[in-house]
Amino acid sequence: MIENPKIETKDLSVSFGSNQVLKKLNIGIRENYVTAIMGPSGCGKSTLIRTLNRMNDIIPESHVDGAVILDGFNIYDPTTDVVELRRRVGMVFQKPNPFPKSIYDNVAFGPRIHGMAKGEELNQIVERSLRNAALWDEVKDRLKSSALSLSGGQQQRLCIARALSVQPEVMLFDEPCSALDPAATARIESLMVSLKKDYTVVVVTHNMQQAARVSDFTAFLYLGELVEYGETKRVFNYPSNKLTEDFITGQFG
Amino acid sequence: MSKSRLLDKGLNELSAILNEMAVLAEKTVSASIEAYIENADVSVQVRQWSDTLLNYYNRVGEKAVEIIARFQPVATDLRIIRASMEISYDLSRFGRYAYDISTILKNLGGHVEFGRDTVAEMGSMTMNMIESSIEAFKTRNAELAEKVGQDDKKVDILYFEHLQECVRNPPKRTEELISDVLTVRHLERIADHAVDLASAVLYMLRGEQGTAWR
Repeated sequence: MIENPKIETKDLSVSFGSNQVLKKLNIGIRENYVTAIMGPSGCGKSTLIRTLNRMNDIIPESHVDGAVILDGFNIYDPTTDVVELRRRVGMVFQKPNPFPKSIYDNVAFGPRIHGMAKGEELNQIVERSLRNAALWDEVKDRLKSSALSLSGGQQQRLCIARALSVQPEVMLFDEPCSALDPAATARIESLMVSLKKDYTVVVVTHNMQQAARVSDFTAFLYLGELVEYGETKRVFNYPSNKLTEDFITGQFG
Repeated sequence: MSKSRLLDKGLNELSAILNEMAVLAEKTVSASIEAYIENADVSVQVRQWSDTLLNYYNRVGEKAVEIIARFQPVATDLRIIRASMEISYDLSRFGRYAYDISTILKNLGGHVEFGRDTVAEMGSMTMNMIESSIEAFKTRNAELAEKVGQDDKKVDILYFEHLQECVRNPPKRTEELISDVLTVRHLERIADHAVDLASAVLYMLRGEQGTAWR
């Protein structure tokens, strides 16, 4: 068990219609570490990460049982402000999805709608966010250009900057590199590791080498259940479960 | 559940090299011990075999690096690779110590009577340890690997008792004393490498260093 987790699920079950995807899952996410969630397609890893900021709410017929505790409070409590929750728990998706706006406006979007800043203060937030996303040097002279003019890897870092701009506490990455080339992947991976200094990072990946490279802790999900969870170096050196061993050594299926 | 993987071809090649190496390493040590007991000179042949073992060791290292670079192995696969590198080192050291034994008589003036029974006994124990450690690797047998550690304690006892005997009742010719002490010393080191080999097998099987019982 992880002591004082930043996020903790308790008997978390998620269904879409009659299809139960997560089955009474209990997992604690440690603060200021990178936690990787891996498993074969359909194991429930994306569903799990999407429950951590209630992204599944927008899917019809989704049903959640159990609890997700963030800093001691159940985010599925009816009194939860979901907009505020998603500010605290940011998310970066598989495919970069910048708004069809300028680079600046993409990053300024969140702080503006949350009424966090304007003018010079907003400029500072944009710069800081772009710096933290390791993109500032590449775009500082063209902040008014369309975000869609950036390369795929730059767009993904812009999306990270956009998530960082509202000062989240947790950053969720759902297959953030699967649409990127190796060089862009390497940059995002370094970025995820550097972000843990200030944020709690959770990454979903079916690329187990990526999980091995970036994470401190690794969870292995199979058929909606948590099969194994522990320090990454232990899980990849000596997994305790045969299913994990078969998955990471490519002997699955 | 298991299926054919590209990585398996590389691991099988690694295993094939180690198997060839193991056969040669056993033959090399055995030849040098027998020659010492029979006052025969096999140093040229043993040198050649020892060099071949060193080449095998380098091949294992190259193959291991290639597999790591190409397939990024993890878990059991990665442990097999690390263990293979360590095992190949131990097998190459068997060859080197065998060569050292094979040159003793030539360098120290020939015939030795003193301590031959002890060399024969210790040689037999050491050969058994080599065979057991190799068999433990081939059959993935942790129990057998652990037994090698226990056998080593018996070799150590025999070694130190013999050294004390050398002090109490040295032979008249100093050459014989030096020949004998060097030979049992090399045998003791060979036994240690058999333990290291068995430790690598335990690491491969259990993911933990197995030298604690040494």
